[in-house]
Amino acid sequence: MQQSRARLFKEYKEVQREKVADPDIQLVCDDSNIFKWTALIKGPSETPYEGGVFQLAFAVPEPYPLQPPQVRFLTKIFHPNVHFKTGEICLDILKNAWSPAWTLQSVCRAIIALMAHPEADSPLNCDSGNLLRSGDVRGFNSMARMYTRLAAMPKKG
Amino acid sequence: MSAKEIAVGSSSINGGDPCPICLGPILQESYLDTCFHKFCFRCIKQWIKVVSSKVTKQLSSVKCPLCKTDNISIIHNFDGHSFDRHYVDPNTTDGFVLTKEQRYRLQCYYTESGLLADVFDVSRFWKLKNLLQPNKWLESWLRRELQALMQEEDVDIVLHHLAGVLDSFCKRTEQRHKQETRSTETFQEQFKSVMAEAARPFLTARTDRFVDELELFLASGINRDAYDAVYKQRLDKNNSREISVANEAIEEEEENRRTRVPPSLLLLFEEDSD
Repeated sequence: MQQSRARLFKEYKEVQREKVADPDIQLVCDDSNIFKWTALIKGPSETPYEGGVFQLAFAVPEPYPLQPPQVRFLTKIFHPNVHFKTGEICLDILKNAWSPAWTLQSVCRAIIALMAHPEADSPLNCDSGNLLRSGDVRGFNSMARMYTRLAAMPKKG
Repeated sequence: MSAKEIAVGSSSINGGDPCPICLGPILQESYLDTCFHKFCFRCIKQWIKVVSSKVTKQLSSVKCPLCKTDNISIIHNFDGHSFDRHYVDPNTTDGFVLTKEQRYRLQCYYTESGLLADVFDVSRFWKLKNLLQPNKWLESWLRRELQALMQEEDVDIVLHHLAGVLDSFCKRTEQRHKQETRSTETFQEQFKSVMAEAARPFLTARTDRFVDELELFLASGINRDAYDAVYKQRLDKNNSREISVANEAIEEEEENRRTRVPPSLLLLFEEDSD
Protein backbone atom coordinates (compact mmCIF):
# COMPACT_ATOMS: atom_id res chain seq x y z
CA MET A 1 0.00 0.00 0.00
CA GLN A 2 2.69 2.41 1.10
CA GLN A 3 4.86 1.30 -1.80
CA SER A 4 2.21 1.93 -4.43
CA ARG A 5 1.45 5.31 -2.90
CA ALA A 6 5.12 6.27 -3.03
CA ARG A 7 5.42 5.15 -6.60
CA LEU A 8 2.26 6.98 -7.67
CA PHE A 9 3.58 10.10 -6.01
CA LYS A 10 6.77 9.77 -8.04
CA GLU A 11 4.68 9.43 -11.18
CA TYR A 12 2.66 12.45 -10.15
CA LYS A 13 5.81 14.53 -9.87
CA GLU A 14 7.06 13.19 -13.17
CA VAL A 15 3.77 14.06 -14.87
CA GLN A 16 3.99 17.64 -13.58
CA ARG A 17 7.43 17.81 -15.06
CA GLU A 18 6.60 16.26 -18.43
CA LYS A 19 3.35 18.07 -19.06
CA VAL A 20 4.98 20.34 -21.58
CA ALA A 21 6.95 17.53 -23.17
CA ASP A 22 3.98 15.38 -24.20
CA PRO A 23 1.18 17.54 -25.61
CA ASP A 24 -0.91 14.48 -26.53
CA ILE A 25 -1.41 13.30 -22.98
CA GLN A 26 -2.81 15.11 -20.01
CA LEU A 27 -2.83 12.99 -16.87
CA VAL A 28 -4.69 14.26 -13.85
CA CYS A 29 -4.78 12.71 -10.43
CA ASP A 30 -7.99 12.79 -8.40
CA ASP A 31 -7.77 15.52 -5.74
CA SER A 32 -8.59 13.21 -2.87
CA ASN A 33 -7.46 9.80 -4.06
CA ILE A 34 -4.07 9.07 -5.57
CA PHE A 35 -5.39 5.70 -6.83
CA LYS A 36 -7.85 7.40 -9.17
CA TRP A 37 -6.61 9.18 -12.26
CA THR A 38 -8.09 10.48 -15.44
CA ALA A 39 -6.31 11.19 -18.67
CA LEU A 40 -7.15 13.20 -21.74
CA ILE A 41 -5.47 11.87 -24.85
CA LYS A 42 -5.52 13.31 -28.33
CA GLY A 43 -6.59 11.04 -31.15
CA PRO A 44 -3.54 10.26 -33.29
CA SER A 45 -3.25 12.11 -36.58
CA GLU A 46 -4.05 10.37 -39.85
CA THR A 47 -6.58 8.18 -38.08
CA PRO A 48 -10.36 8.60 -37.84
CA TYR A 49 -9.76 9.71 -34.25
CA GLU A 50 -7.78 12.78 -35.29
CA GLY A 51 -9.05 15.97 -33.74
CA GLY A 52 -10.83 14.14 -30.95
CA VAL A 53 -9.95 14.28 -27.27
CA PHE A 54 -10.64 11.06 -25.41
CA GLN A 55 -11.02 10.70 -21.70
CA LEU A 56 -9.63 7.65 -19.91
CA ALA A 57 -10.33 6.56 -16.35
CA PHE A 58 -7.61 4.82 -14.36
CA ALA A 59 -8.29 2.74 -11.28
CA VAL A 60 -4.95 1.79 -9.76
CA PRO A 61 -4.98 -1.38 -7.67
CA GLU A 62 -3.22 -1.55 -4.33
CA PRO A 63 -0.42 -3.87 -5.47
CA TYR A 64 0.52 -1.45 -8.27
CA PRO A 65 2.96 -1.55 -10.04
CA LEU A 66 3.02 -5.32 -9.53
CA GLN A 67 -0.49 -5.35 -11.00
CA PRO A 68 -1.61 -3.25 -13.97
CA PRO A 69 -3.97 -0.32 -13.56
CA GLN A 70 -7.53 -0.78 -14.83
CA VAL A 71 -8.13 1.61 -17.66
CA ARG A 72 -11.26 2.32 -19.65
CA PHE A 73 -12.47 4.92 -22.10
CA LEU A 74 -14.99 7.33 -20.64
CA THR A 75 -15.45 8.86 -24.08
CA LYS A 76 -17.37 6.76 -26.59
CA ILE A 77 -15.08 5.38 -29.23
CA PHE A 78 -15.61 3.12 -32.22
CA HIS A 79 -12.57 0.86 -32.13
CA PRO A 80 -12.31 -2.94 -32.46
CA ASN A 81 -10.41 -3.32 -29.18
CA VAL A 82 -12.58 -1.07 -27.05
CA HIS A 83 -15.92 -2.18 -25.69
CA PHE A 84 -18.50 0.19 -27.10
CA LYS A 85 -20.64 0.32 -23.97
CA THR A 86 -18.21 -0.05 -21.07
CA GLY A 87 -15.10 1.46 -22.61
CA GLU A 88 -13.08 -1.59 -21.57
CA ILE A 89 -9.79 -1.89 -23.45
CA CYS A 90 -8.32 -5.11 -24.82
CA LEU A 91 -4.60 -4.54 -24.66
CA ASP A 92 -2.03 -7.19 -23.72
CA ILE A 93 0.08 -4.90 -21.56
CA LEU A 94 -2.95 -4.19 -19.39
CA LYS A 95 -3.40 -7.92 -18.85
CA ASN A 96 -0.80 -10.69 -18.98
CA ALA A 97 1.96 -8.74 -20.70
CA TRP A 98 2.03 -6.16 -17.94
CA SER A 99 5.44 -5.15 -16.62
CA PRO A 100 6.04 -2.97 -13.55
CA ALA A 101 8.29 -0.81 -15.68
CA TRP A 102 5.22 0.67 -17.37
CA THR A 103 3.87 3.90 -15.94
CA LEU A 104 0.46 5.54 -16.26
CA GLN A 105 2.05 7.90 -18.77
CA SER A 106 3.48 5.09 -20.88
CA VAL A 107 0.18 3.21 -20.70
CA CYS A 108 -1.45 6.30 -22.25
CA ARG A 109 1.12 6.19 -25.02
CA ALA A 110 0.38 2.50 -25.58
CA ILE A 111 -3.33 3.28 -25.84
CA ILE A 112 -2.65 6.02 -28.39
CA ALA A 113 -0.62 3.47 -30.35
CA LEU A 114 -3.51 1.01 -30.13
CA MET A 115 -5.86 3.66 -31.54
CA ALA A 116 -3.57 4.03 -34.54
CA HIS A 117 -3.11 0.27 -34.97
CA PRO A 118 -6.30 -1.62 -34.18
CA GLU A 119 -6.09 -5.38 -33.73
CA ALA A 120 -9.12 -6.60 -35.62
CA ASP A 121 -8.49 -10.21 -34.69
CA SER A 122 -9.19 -9.81 -30.98
CA PRO A 123 -12.22 -7.54 -31.04
CA LEU A 124 -14.23 -6.30 -28.09
CA ASN A 125 -16.34 -4.37 -30.54
CA CYS A 126 -17.38 -6.97 -33.11
CA ASP A 127 -19.07 -4.56 -35.53
CA SER A 128 -15.94 -2.52 -35.72
CA GLY A 129 -13.71 -5.60 -35.98
CA ASN A 130 -15.85 -7.15 -38.70
CA LEU A 131 -15.68 -4.03 -40.85
CA LEU A 132 -11.90 -4.14 -40.76
CA ARG A 133 -11.71 -7.89 -41.20
CA SER A 134 -13.94 -7.79 -44.23
CA GLY A 135 -11.62 -5.16 -45.72
CA ASP A 136 -14.11 -2.30 -45.48
CA VAL A 137 -11.61 0.28 -44.30
CA ARG A 138 -13.72 3.10 -45.66
CA GLY A 139 -16.76 1.92 -43.77
CA PHE A 140 -14.72 1.54 -40.60
CA ASN A 141 -13.13 4.96 -40.99
CA SER A 142 -16.39 6.76 -41.52
CA MET A 143 -18.05 5.07 -38.53
CA ALA A 144 -15.05 5.80 -36.31
CA ARG A 145 -14.89 9.40 -37.54
CA MET A 146 -18.56 9.90 -36.93
CA TYR A 147 -18.28 8.75 -33.31
CA THR A 148 -15.19 10.89 -32.85
CA ARG A 149 -17.20 13.92 -34.00
CA LEU A 150 -20.18 12.98 -31.86
CA ALA A 151 -18.38 12.13 -28.65
CA ALA A 152 -14.81 13.38 -28.69
CA MET A 153 -15.03 16.85 -30.13
CA PRO A 154 -16.25 20.02 -28.45
CA LYS A 155 -19.72 20.88 -29.65
CA LYS A 156 -19.82 23.90 -31.88
CA GLY A 157 -22.11 26.81 -31.27
CA MET B 1 8.12 23.60 -7.79
CA SER B 2 10.21 23.96 -10.90
CA ALA B 3 11.12 21.07 -13.12
CA LYS B 4 14.78 21.60 -12.39
CA GLU B 5 14.25 21.27 -8.66
CA ILE B 6 12.51 17.95 -9.05
CA ALA B 7 15.12 16.62 -11.40
CA VAL B 8 17.85 17.45 -8.94
CA GLY B 9 15.84 16.03 -6.07
CA SER B 10 15.25 12.68 -7.67
CA SER B 11 18.67 12.05 -9.11
CA SER B 12 20.97 13.43 -6.44
CA ILE B 13 20.25 10.61 -4.02
CA ASN B 14 22.22 7.93 -5.80
CA GLY B 15 23.33 9.78 -8.87
CA GLY B 16 21.97 7.05 -11.14
CA ASP B 17 18.75 5.95 -12.72
CA PRO B 18 15.89 5.17 -10.38
CA CYS B 19 14.61 1.63 -9.93
CA PRO B 20 12.17 0.98 -12.79
CA ILE B 21 9.73 -0.68 -10.39
CA CYS B 22 9.43 1.74 -7.46
CA LEU B 23 10.85 4.73 -9.39
CA GLY B 24 12.81 5.58 -6.24
CA PRO B 25 16.55 5.45 -5.66
CA ILE B 26 17.84 1.90 -5.90
CA LEU B 27 18.13 0.15 -2.55
CA GLN B 28 20.27 -2.99 -2.26
CA GLU B 29 21.38 -2.72 -5.85
CA SER B 30 20.81 -5.94 -7.72
CA TYR B 31 21.06 -7.10 -11.31
CA LEU B 32 19.37 -9.70 -13.44
CA ASP B 33 22.00 -12.22 -14.45
CA THR B 34 21.62 -12.07 -18.23
CA CYS B 35 20.55 -8.57 -19.25
CA PHE B 36 22.10 -6.85 -16.18
CA HIS B 37 19.23 -4.44 -15.74
CA LYS B 38 19.34 -2.88 -12.30
CA PHE B 39 16.59 -2.91 -9.66
CA CYS B 40 16.11 -2.71 -5.90
CA PHE B 41 16.55 -6.21 -4.55
CA ARG B 42 13.19 -6.06 -2.82
CA CYS B 43 11.37 -4.74 -5.89
CA ILE B 44 12.60 -7.34 -8.36
CA LYS B 45 12.12 -10.13 -5.80
CA GLN B 46 8.51 -9.07 -5.33
CA TRP B 47 7.96 -8.99 -9.07
CA ILE B 48 9.31 -12.53 -9.41
CA LYS B 49 6.95 -13.60 -6.65
CA VAL B 50 4.00 -12.07 -8.49
CA VAL B 51 4.98 -13.72 -11.77
CA SER B 52 5.42 -17.14 -10.13
CA SER B 53 2.11 -16.88 -8.31
CA LYS B 54 0.34 -16.76 -11.68
CA VAL B 55 1.62 -20.14 -12.84
CA THR B 56 1.23 -23.53 -11.24
CA LYS B 57 4.62 -24.87 -12.24
CA GLN B 58 7.80 -23.68 -10.57
CA LEU B 59 9.37 -21.03 -12.77
CA SER B 60 13.01 -21.38 -13.64
CA SER B 61 13.39 -17.98 -15.22
CA VAL B 62 11.74 -14.60 -15.27
CA LYS B 63 11.48 -12.01 -18.02
CA CYS B 64 13.14 -8.68 -17.33
CA PRO B 65 10.46 -6.00 -16.78
CA LEU B 66 12.43 -3.70 -19.04
CA CYS B 67 13.67 -5.81 -21.94
CA LYS B 68 11.87 -9.19 -21.55
CA THR B 69 15.13 -11.14 -21.59
CA ASP B 70 14.92 -14.40 -19.65
CA ASN B 71 16.96 -14.43 -16.46
CA ILE B 72 17.39 -17.25 -13.99
CA SER B 73 18.71 -15.31 -11.02
CA ILE B 74 19.21 -11.96 -9.34
CA ILE B 75 22.75 -10.95 -8.51
CA HIS B 76 22.96 -8.94 -5.32
CA ASN B 77 25.19 -8.08 -2.35
CA PHE B 78 27.98 -7.26 -4.73
CA ASP B 79 30.82 -5.70 -2.74
CA GLY B 80 33.61 -5.66 -5.27
CA HIS B 81 34.82 -9.11 -4.25
CA SER B 82 31.84 -11.38 -4.04
CA PHE B 83 28.12 -11.46 -4.68
CA ASP B 84 25.09 -13.55 -3.87
CA ARG B 85 22.63 -15.09 -6.26
CA HIS B 86 18.93 -15.34 -5.66
CA TYR B 87 17.49 -17.91 -8.03
CA VAL B 88 14.02 -17.61 -9.54
CA ASP B 89 13.66 -21.32 -8.80
CA PRO B 90 14.47 -21.64 -5.09
CA ASN B 91 15.36 -25.30 -5.65
CA THR B 92 18.38 -24.25 -7.67
CA THR B 93 21.24 -24.07 -5.23
CA ASP B 94 24.19 -24.03 -7.57
CA GLY B 95 23.64 -27.79 -7.34
CA PHE B 96 25.88 -27.79 -4.31
CA VAL B 97 25.36 -28.13 -0.58
CA LEU B 98 28.28 -27.97 1.82
CA THR B 99 29.19 -31.25 3.44
CA LYS B 100 30.04 -31.42 7.14
CA GLU B 101 33.73 -31.55 6.29
CA GLN B 102 33.54 -28.55 4.02
CA ARG B 103 31.55 -26.65 6.61
CA TYR B 104 34.25 -27.26 9.15
CA ARG B 105 36.86 -25.90 6.76
CA LEU B 106 34.83 -22.81 6.05
CA GLN B 107 34.49 -22.37 9.80
CA CYS B 108 38.27 -22.32 10.07
CA TYR B 109 38.28 -19.25 7.88
CA TYR B 110 36.23 -17.38 10.43
CA THR B 111 38.81 -17.96 13.17
CA GLU B 112 41.84 -15.82 13.80
CA SER B 113 44.79 -16.60 11.60
CA GLY B 114 47.66 -18.37 13.35
CA LEU B 115 45.49 -20.65 15.47
CA LEU B 116 47.90 -23.53 14.91
CA ALA B 117 51.09 -21.48 14.75
CA ASP B 118 52.52 -23.24 17.77
CA VAL B 119 51.63 -26.73 16.59
CA PHE B 120 53.38 -26.78 13.25
CA ASP B 121 56.79 -25.23 12.82
CA VAL B 122 56.36 -23.17 9.69
CA SER B 123 59.79 -21.51 9.80
CA ARG B 124 61.49 -24.90 10.05
CA PHE B 125 59.55 -26.00 7.01
CA TRP B 126 60.99 -23.13 5.04
CA LYS B 127 64.47 -23.53 6.45
CA LEU B 128 64.59 -27.15 5.36
CA LYS B 129 63.07 -26.22 2.00
CA ASN B 130 60.54 -28.99 2.48
CA LEU B 131 58.28 -27.38 -0.06
CA LEU B 132 60.44 -28.89 -2.76
CA GLN B 133 59.43 -32.37 -1.72
CA PRO B 134 56.15 -33.50 -3.26
CA ASN B 135 53.19 -33.71 -0.94
CA LYS B 136 50.90 -36.54 -1.99
CA TRP B 137 48.09 -35.40 0.32
CA LEU B 138 47.94 -31.93 -1.13
CA GLU B 139 45.42 -32.68 -3.86
CA SER B 140 42.69 -34.06 -1.65
CA TRP B 141 43.19 -31.27 0.88
CA LEU B 142 43.19 -28.62 -1.82
CA ARG B 143 40.06 -30.01 -3.45
CA ARG B 144 38.02 -29.83 -0.30
CA GLU B 145 39.40 -26.39 0.52
CA LEU B 146 38.36 -25.02 -2.84
CA GLN B 147 34.95 -26.69 -2.69
CA ALA B 148 34.30 -25.09 0.68
CA LEU B 149 35.52 -21.64 -0.34
CA MET B 150 33.97 -21.53 -3.79
CA GLN B 151 30.83 -23.45 -2.76
CA GLU B 152 31.02 -25.46 -5.91
CA GLU B 153 31.34 -29.18 -6.55
CA ASP B 154 33.51 -29.11 -9.62
CA VAL B 155 36.73 -27.32 -8.79
CA ASP B 156 39.00 -29.38 -11.04
CA ILE B 157 40.13 -26.51 -13.20
CA VAL B 158 41.13 -24.30 -10.31
CA LEU B 159 42.68 -27.25 -8.52
CA HIS B 160 44.93 -28.18 -11.43
CA HIS B 161 45.73 -24.55 -12.05
CA LEU B 162 46.93 -24.02 -8.49
CA ALA B 163 48.75 -27.35 -8.37
CA GLY B 164 50.44 -26.50 -11.65
CA VAL B 165 51.51 -23.07 -10.44
CA LEU B 166 52.93 -24.57 -7.26
CA ASP B 167 54.72 -27.26 -9.20
CA SER B 168 56.37 -24.90 -11.63
CA PHE B 169 57.29 -22.56 -8.78
CA CYS B 170 59.08 -25.45 -7.06
CA LYS B 171 60.87 -26.48 -10.24
CA ARG B 172 62.04 -22.96 -10.94
CA THR B 173 63.23 -22.54 -7.40
CA GLU B 174 65.06 -25.85 -7.48
CA GLN B 175 66.97 -24.91 -10.61
CA ARG B 176 67.89 -21.50 -9.35
CA HIS B 177 68.70 -22.90 -5.97
CA LYS B 178 71.65 -24.74 -7.43
CA GLN B 179 73.19 -21.49 -8.63
CA GLU B 180 72.47 -19.11 -5.83
CA THR B 181 71.58 -19.24 -2.21
CA ARG B 182 68.61 -17.22 -1.20
CA SER B 183 67.27 -16.49 2.20
CA THR B 184 64.32 -18.55 3.36
CA GLU B 185 62.29 -15.36 3.78
CA THR B 186 62.35 -14.45 0.10
CA PHE B 187 61.57 -18.05 -0.75
CA GLN B 188 58.53 -17.92 1.55
CA GLU B 189 57.46 -14.50 0.31
CA GLN B 190 57.72 -15.56 -3.27
CA PHE B 191 55.67 -18.66 -2.58
CA LYS B 192 52.96 -16.54 -1.00
CA SER B 193 52.81 -13.95 -3.75
CA VAL B 194 52.85 -16.52 -6.54
CA MET B 195 50.09 -18.60 -4.97
CA ALA B 196 48.01 -15.56 -4.04
CA GLU B 197 48.20 -14.27 -7.56
CA ALA B 198 47.07 -17.62 -8.94
CA ALA B 199 44.21 -18.02 -6.47
CA ARG B 200 42.86 -14.49 -6.30
CA PRO B 201 40.58 -14.58 -9.35
CA PHE B 202 38.75 -17.53 -7.81
CA LEU B 203 38.87 -16.86 -4.08
CA THR B 204 38.88 -13.03 -4.12
CA ALA B 205 38.70 -11.67 -0.56
CA ARG B 206 39.68 -14.97 1.05
CA THR B 207 42.84 -15.40 -1.00
CA ASP B 208 45.42 -14.30 1.55
CA ARG B 209 43.96 -16.42 4.28
CA PHE B 210 43.82 -19.35 1.89
CA VAL B 211 47.51 -19.00 1.13
CA ASP B 212 48.25 -18.98 4.86
CA GLU B 213 46.21 -22.14 5.28
CA LEU B 214 47.96 -23.75 2.34
CA GLU B 215 51.31 -22.93 3.83
CA LEU B 216 50.23 -24.33 7.17
CA PHE B 217 49.01 -27.58 5.66
CA LEU B 218 52.20 -28.03 3.66
CA ALA B 219 54.29 -27.22 6.72
CA SER B 220 52.40 -29.75 8.80
CA GLY B 221 53.66 -32.53 6.58
CA ILE B 222 50.79 -34.78 7.60
CA ASN B 223 47.79 -36.08 5.69
CA ARG B 224 44.37 -34.52 5.59
CA ASP B 225 42.75 -36.61 8.30
CA ALA B 226 45.57 -36.09 10.75
CA TYR B 227 45.62 -32.40 9.96
CA ASP B 228 41.88 -32.17 10.51
CA ALA B 229 42.20 -33.94 13.83
CA VAL B 230 44.73 -31.40 15.07
CA TYR B 231 42.72 -28.49 13.74
CA LYS B 232 39.44 -29.68 15.23
CA GLN B 233 41.01 -30.33 18.58
CA ARG B 234 42.33 -26.79 18.63
CA LEU B 235 39.02 -25.39 17.46
CA ASP B 236 37.23 -27.13 20.32
CA LYS B 237 39.74 -25.90 22.85
CA ASN B 238 39.48 -22.40 21.52
CA ASN B 239 36.63 -20.69 23.27
CA SER B 240 33.40 -22.13 22.00
CA ARG B 241 31.80 -18.72 21.80
CA GLU B 242 33.95 -17.70 18.92
CA ILE B 243 33.00 -20.82 17.02
CA SER B 244 29.32 -20.29 17.59
CA VAL B 245 29.72 -16.81 16.19
CA ALA B 246 31.53 -18.29 13.23
CA ASN B 247 28.80 -20.86 12.85
CA GLU B 248 26.16 -18.21 12.81
CA ALA B 249 28.05 -16.35 10.18
CA ILE B 250 28.22 -19.47 8.04
CA GLU B 251 24.57 -20.21 8.55
CA GLU B 252 23.66 -16.70 7.66
CA GLU B 253 25.72 -16.97 4.54
CA GLU B 254 23.97 -20.18 3.59
CA GLU B 255 20.62 -18.70 4.43
CA ASN B 256 21.27 -15.87 2.02
CA ARG B 257 22.34 -18.30 -0.60
CA ARG B 258 19.22 -20.41 -0.60
CA THR B 259 16.00 -19.38 0.95
CA ARG B 260 14.01 -22.55 1.17
CA VAL B 261 10.78 -20.95 2.30
CA PRO B 262 8.14 -21.51 -0.37
CA PRO B 263 7.32 -18.26 -2.16
CA SER B 264 3.68 -18.44 -1.18
CA LEU B 265 4.61 -18.31 2.52
CA LEU B 266 6.83 -15.32 1.93
CA LEU B 267 4.00 -13.54 0.23
CA LEU B 268 1.71 -14.11 3.20
CA PHE B 269 4.36 -12.88 5.55
CA GLU B 270 4.93 -9.72 3.66
CA GLU B 271 1.27 -8.95 3.37
CA ASP B 272 0.96 -9.26 7.12
CA SER B 273 3.76 -6.86 7.78
CA ASP B 274 2.26 -4.14 5.65
